[in-house]
Amino acid sequence: MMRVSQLVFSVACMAHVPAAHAQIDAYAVKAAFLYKFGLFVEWPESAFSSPDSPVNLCIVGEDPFGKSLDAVVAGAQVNGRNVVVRRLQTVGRNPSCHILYAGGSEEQSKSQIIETVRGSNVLTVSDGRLSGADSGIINFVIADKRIRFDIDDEAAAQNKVVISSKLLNLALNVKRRTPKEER
Amino acid sequence: MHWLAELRIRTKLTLITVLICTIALLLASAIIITYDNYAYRTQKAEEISAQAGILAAGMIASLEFDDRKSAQEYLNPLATNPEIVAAAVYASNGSLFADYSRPGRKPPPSSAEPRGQRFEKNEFIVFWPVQQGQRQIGSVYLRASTEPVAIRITRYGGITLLTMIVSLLITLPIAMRLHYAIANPVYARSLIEASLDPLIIINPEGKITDVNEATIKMTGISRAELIGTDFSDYFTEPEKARTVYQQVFAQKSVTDYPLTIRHLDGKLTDVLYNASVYKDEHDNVLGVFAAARDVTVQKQAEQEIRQRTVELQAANRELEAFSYSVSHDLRAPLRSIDGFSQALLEDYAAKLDDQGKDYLQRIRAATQRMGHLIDDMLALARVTRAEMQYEVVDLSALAADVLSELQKNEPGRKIDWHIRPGLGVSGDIRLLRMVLVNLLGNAWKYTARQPQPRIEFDAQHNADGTLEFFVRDNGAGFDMTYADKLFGVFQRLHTAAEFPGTGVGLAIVQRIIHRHGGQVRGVGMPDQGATFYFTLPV
Repeated sequence: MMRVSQLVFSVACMAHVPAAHAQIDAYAVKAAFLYKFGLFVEWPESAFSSPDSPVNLCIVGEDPFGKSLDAVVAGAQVNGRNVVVRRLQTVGRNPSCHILYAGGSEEQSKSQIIETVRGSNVLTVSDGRLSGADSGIINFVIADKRIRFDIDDEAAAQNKVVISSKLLNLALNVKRRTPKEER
Repeated sequence: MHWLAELRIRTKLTLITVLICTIALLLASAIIITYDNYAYRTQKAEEISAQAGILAAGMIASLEFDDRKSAQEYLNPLATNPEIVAAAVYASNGSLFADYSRPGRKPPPSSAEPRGQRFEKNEFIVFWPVQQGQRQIGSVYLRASTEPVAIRITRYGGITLLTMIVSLLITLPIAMRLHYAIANPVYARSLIEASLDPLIIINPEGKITDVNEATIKMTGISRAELIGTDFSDYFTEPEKARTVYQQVFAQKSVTDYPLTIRHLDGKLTDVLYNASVYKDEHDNVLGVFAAARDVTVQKQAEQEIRQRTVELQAANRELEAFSYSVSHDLRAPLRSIDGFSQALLEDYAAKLDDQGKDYLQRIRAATQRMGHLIDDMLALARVTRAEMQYEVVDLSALAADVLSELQKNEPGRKIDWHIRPGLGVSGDIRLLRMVLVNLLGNAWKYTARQPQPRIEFDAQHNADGTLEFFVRDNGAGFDMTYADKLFGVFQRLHTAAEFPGTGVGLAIVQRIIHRHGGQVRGVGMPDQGATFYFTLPV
């Protein structure tokens, strides 16, 4: 099932990005975005054990980025913190992840991953249009042959993650947080 | 600069005011323009740079996520600022990411430049980096129009010109009035004080309005005390002094009016007053400007001369009286010598040989000659002593009379003589006759050896207009080297053997002419004749 869906996604990507290597480039861009999202996000203090503990960028399940992500992250910093890539098969509640890319696997699907960490202080990122509430706080989409993203700010609020308006401005679609959720 | 020297002091001062005003304003304008330009540029640079900084901050996300559309959306609102003519965002590799330019304006460059800012043809250009932490992820470009310097200078020039005109309109009349107050008195005062003669300025009421230092010195009274008092108070004859300034007002001026100033300590100073009225610009008489010339020294000199003249005249008279009496007293013994010599010749002729008779003849000739000398001496003395009786004398008629007499005495001589008729003078006829007797007699005598003798009596006008009479002959003449001896007593240029005479005649002529207030001179050349000129009051 998962493989099929992945295949479907890949086909969909192929349809938009003409050349085969363009797909690899597209993942390189997404890898960079994944890291850069961190620049426009604020986590609560409690998300870090100490002031100099790193920002954990977790890839859960399938890893479509490979070495390109390690290249982007190498030496990079987010608000003075180092960035560490963690590749996990599955996650539980309150994982030690700050940015989480739901790659999904047979053991734990993308939706399950996102559902599992809902309420934890994690910026979830998903790829491809998942059904409704199953997508991450940020969800990669393709528009005008370019990689863009949607933001679910309400979900971010549930996870106590504050997304900069600069980033919100760039989102293709934003699901605004309900006023009640605001302080 | 020659023309500048000819200007009036007031005009000069006014010119200086205008010049200084202009220089000060121009300088101030130059400083203001320079400072304003500097301030304007600094402010403009800060403004546009700040805007570039804001723009750069807004571009971070767009660049990070390669979102040109949002970058464009950021740039477009710049249209609301009319100063911004172009703007652009460049990616980290320098390539154009998004751009904006006002219609008709040059678009931004296609690639980024390093961070920097500059003014270029009335435009301010700035490149500003877009930074994410330490990382430069792109750059922003802004170009803003600035007001051209020329327009600002023109505007300030206009303001300067207007300020200049307004300030000159206000200051010039004030300056001119002040200049009049300053320049006039200073210049006039320095002139008045420069005079060594006492200067006094009197108003029509005869009151003193101004004096100089010399006046203060001569009166011994201070300036403050002199001003306002009556001019006539300071003279030995106040009435006469009053007459002077009244005369000045009546006749506009008075010259060499003698007065005596009394010093506070009693010392008197004889002065000659020269005074004239002075007027204002409209020709109204304001008062009298009087200058006194101290003539004390001249007066003393005159006094001395007068006294010496009196003494000299007394001495002369004594001398003349002495020589008259001597001459007179010499005649008696001389007559005895001549008389007894004649008696010897007549009564003892038989007892004397020829040589003895010759000796006696010589004694007689010598005594007779001495007699003539004494007669002439007496004549000369009489000329000096005689009282003058003035009347109108026809010199032409007198000359004709004298020549006729000479002709009668020597009928054998044929002389060609010419007399200009109607030459009249005022003088003593007896003395003038002696002049002509001597001059014409000399001419008659010295032409004796001339085969064609000629004598002239005439008159001519000198270069200075005076009438000069002259007696001219073509006789023996004389050497001009000895001209100064001509009129000396007993001075002769010829021996008695050549021409008889005692050498007193011309001395008599000179004395008579001098007594008449005239002059006499002789001009001659040996064997070329002589001319004697004399002047007389007509």
